Amino acid sequence: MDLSITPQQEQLRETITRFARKELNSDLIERDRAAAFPHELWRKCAELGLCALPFAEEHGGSGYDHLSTVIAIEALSYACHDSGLVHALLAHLVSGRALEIFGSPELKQRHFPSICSGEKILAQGATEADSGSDLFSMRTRAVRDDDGYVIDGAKMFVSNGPVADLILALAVTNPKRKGFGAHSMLLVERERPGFSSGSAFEKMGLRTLQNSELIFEACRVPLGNLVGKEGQGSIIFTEVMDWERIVFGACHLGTLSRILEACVAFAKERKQFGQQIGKFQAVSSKIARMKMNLELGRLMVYKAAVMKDRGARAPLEAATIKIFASESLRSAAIDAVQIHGASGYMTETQIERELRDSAASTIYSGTVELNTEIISKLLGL
Amino acid sequence: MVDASSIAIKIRHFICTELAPDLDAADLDPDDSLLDSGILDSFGIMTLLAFILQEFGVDIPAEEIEPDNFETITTISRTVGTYL
Repeated sequence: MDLSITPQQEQLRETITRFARKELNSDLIERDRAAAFPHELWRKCAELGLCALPFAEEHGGSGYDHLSTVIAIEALSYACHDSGLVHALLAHLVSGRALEIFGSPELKQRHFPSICSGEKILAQGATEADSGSDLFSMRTRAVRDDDGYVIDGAKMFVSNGPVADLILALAVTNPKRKGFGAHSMLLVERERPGFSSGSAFEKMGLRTLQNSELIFEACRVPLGNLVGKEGQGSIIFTEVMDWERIVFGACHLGTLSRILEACVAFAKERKQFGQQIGKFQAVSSKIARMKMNLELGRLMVYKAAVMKDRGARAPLEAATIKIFASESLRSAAIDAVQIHGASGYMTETQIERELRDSAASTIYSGTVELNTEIISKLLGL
Repeated sequence: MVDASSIAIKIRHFICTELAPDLDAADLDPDDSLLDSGILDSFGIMTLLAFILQEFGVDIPAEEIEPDNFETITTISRTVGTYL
């Protein structure tokens, strides 16, 4: 398997890194405190084409393959210190994938130009108050009649929920079925009567990412808003989660790369007992482990992306990546605070935010526990 | 060339040993719904797809993974057969 980076991919990485450093990192402490969605920065990202990265050129996208896309995301996550903004972008890109693979030509023609331009923001609603990883406890129902589907229910913690224009909602359409075939995916435009979103939740980290409840009260959508076929919802969700776990792996590694750089710089600059603290093995071993995890994780992400480029399914690789990258990131963020000492605990140095932002990484896109279960099942255990 | 009946035998064996080990193979008719019974849940479909890839070398495109194609052992075997 060839995991080498082409000059074009290197150029993509450099362009995004330069852009993010110049445009996306100002006033971040205040932005984090305000916990507001950075619409202006979203627009700048869209102008660079980041909202269109993986989508086909025929749909108005940039047409980057999977490997190029993870390289771009890793670069963005490395250079953009606003992890909430990066997560908002990823929620948009991942939701768009479901529409691109499974959506009808009419749906794609109607919505993709504004999705790729960033004018319309996407979200995906699957999690509910009583069903997170357990999809089959879902209560949201979509009942079909002659004109379309009527959706009733509520989704919880939806990324981009308060700002999304288009929502891919997973709902039960065949309650008699207990497994595959019970769910369908429906596209809901924000302006549909019966749809509303709650206020953004206050969160520990990723504060510029907006998460909210989505409410469907007799919300009617036409038959043409069905994404894929009726009963295909859980497989659409599974396919998207595959890709989501890989791109979030790339995202975690980009942030880990930034944390590593900050720790190396601090360990060389900070002196105690007459020498750089990096000369103490208790400090340097933490940093060495960050580097080790970064290199290992990157190989895993690139391998899975190449598998995807070859048209293969990669559920085991995706689950493995998500566990490894998220645990590596969270561990690095904890160690970074420790290495920076008291200053690492202070808001001003912006290390504590890395820890708050990374804390949820082992929860979303399937908890570490769920992804472990997926690996076990796929090993036949 | 793999015929439809040998595909069905392998699929049935996998389902009865891996997905529904408490089920007696004799009680599972090739035309019984695996969806209404809940045998194919989200983990089940994932492991079945992995088995189909490993056993037959067939990676069924996501668009074709729909209830009609995975309702019964017969329909699954037919779907796999179209890619062989």
